[in-house]
Amino acid sequence: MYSLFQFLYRNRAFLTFVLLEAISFWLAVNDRSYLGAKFFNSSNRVAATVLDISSNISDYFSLGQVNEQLAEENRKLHETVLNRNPSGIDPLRIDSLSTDTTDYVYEMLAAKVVNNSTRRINNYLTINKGSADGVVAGMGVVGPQGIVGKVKYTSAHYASIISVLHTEFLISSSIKRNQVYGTLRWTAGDALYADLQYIPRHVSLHVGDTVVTSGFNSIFPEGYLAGTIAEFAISDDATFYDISVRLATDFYSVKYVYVVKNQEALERDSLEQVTIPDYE
Amino acid sequence: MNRGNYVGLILWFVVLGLLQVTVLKNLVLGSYASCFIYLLPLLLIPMEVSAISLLLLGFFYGLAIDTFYDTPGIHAASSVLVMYLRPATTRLLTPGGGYDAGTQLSPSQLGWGWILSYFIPLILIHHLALFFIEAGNLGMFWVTVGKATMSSIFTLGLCLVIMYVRMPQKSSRL
Repeated sequence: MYSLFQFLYRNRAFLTFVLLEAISFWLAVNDRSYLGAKFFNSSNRVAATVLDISSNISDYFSLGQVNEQLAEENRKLHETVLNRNPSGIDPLRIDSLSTDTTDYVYEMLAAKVVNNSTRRINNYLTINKGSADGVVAGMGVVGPQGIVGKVKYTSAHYASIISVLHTEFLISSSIKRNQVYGTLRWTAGDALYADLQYIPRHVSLHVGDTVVTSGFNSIFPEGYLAGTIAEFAISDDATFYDISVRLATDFYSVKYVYVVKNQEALERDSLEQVTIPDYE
Repeated sequence: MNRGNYVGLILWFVVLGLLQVTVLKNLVLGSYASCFIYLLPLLLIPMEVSAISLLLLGFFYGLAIDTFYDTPGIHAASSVLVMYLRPATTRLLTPGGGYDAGTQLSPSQLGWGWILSYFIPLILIHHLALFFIEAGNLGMFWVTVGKATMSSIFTLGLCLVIMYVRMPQKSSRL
């Protein structure tokens, strides 16, 4: 017994090393662990406060770009309003001053990005809205230009977002022109491009085709802009195309985003949980 | 090592840690080279500190950096590895006649050659561990090695600049 203690004591540095490495690897591999969710992410109060202060300072340097993005978004919205087809609605019965929002399926919440990464293999953003504002894990996040990500963790005033630039984040999308469904997935590397997978070879494609979210899951609303096809190829023996999609959102400059609250998400997800046993 | 030096070291931990998570985190040169300057205070912990304390310091400091990077465990794992290898490295680099009691890890006491041969292997090991754990596999092996090497050069450069600036200047006598 004594020699055992002696052995442990003599190798205490090595044993501590092994123990600490084991904890680190456990945290790294189990990225859904309770500890990781509770403390070691950037929605943690201390970390988020520091990042918030730092982004408050650096924001002044990107005001021009943010204004440009917002102006562009406003232009699109004005265009949509002007071109909206008024048929089917009796203009006399609509009271434009009091819009009834109670039956809206989607509600949006504006948030500021306080932390963002684009260079790693799995990237995350932190926004300054949290559970106190009604943000819940699993909600979709979109930006002025297109989809941005999905809420992973929340603290009271901050939320940590899985970016589209995350190699394990699969987004059900469709090609707008011919309504073919595929999966959008970022495969590390260039933050401007992602891959669109599972588009079968009989489909005809064009460079520049718009890729939108499919609405097959309750994260993103249907038809929200994801990107445009930059190039595609298919080898002779392949079943599916290799498609490279230029993402609509410029992740280098995204500053303001909207969290999408789907009022029917719970109802829809619980129904799908029952019918599809291993629905992810 | 007197009390004042420890206070100075704690300041370096705080300042370089904040610099890391607010500025350097968003700075990548040529989409390859990142800088992990938070390693410097870990390498400058005085030599009389025990191996266990080194490991624990590396672990908790790495974990703090991880929290800002949203990568639980990755920086902690590589920092602990470096802290484990540190005592062996200093032992290997013992100058003829051994270290004097209370030797500080500074170029003015040990010389630039010593500092370089102490920094280069440890920084390289740290960055290799970091990028391979982040990649999670050995696919794109050379890309990962390339990233680690470029980043090591960047980190080493900044480390040397900081070491040079904080070196006590010889007072010139007229």
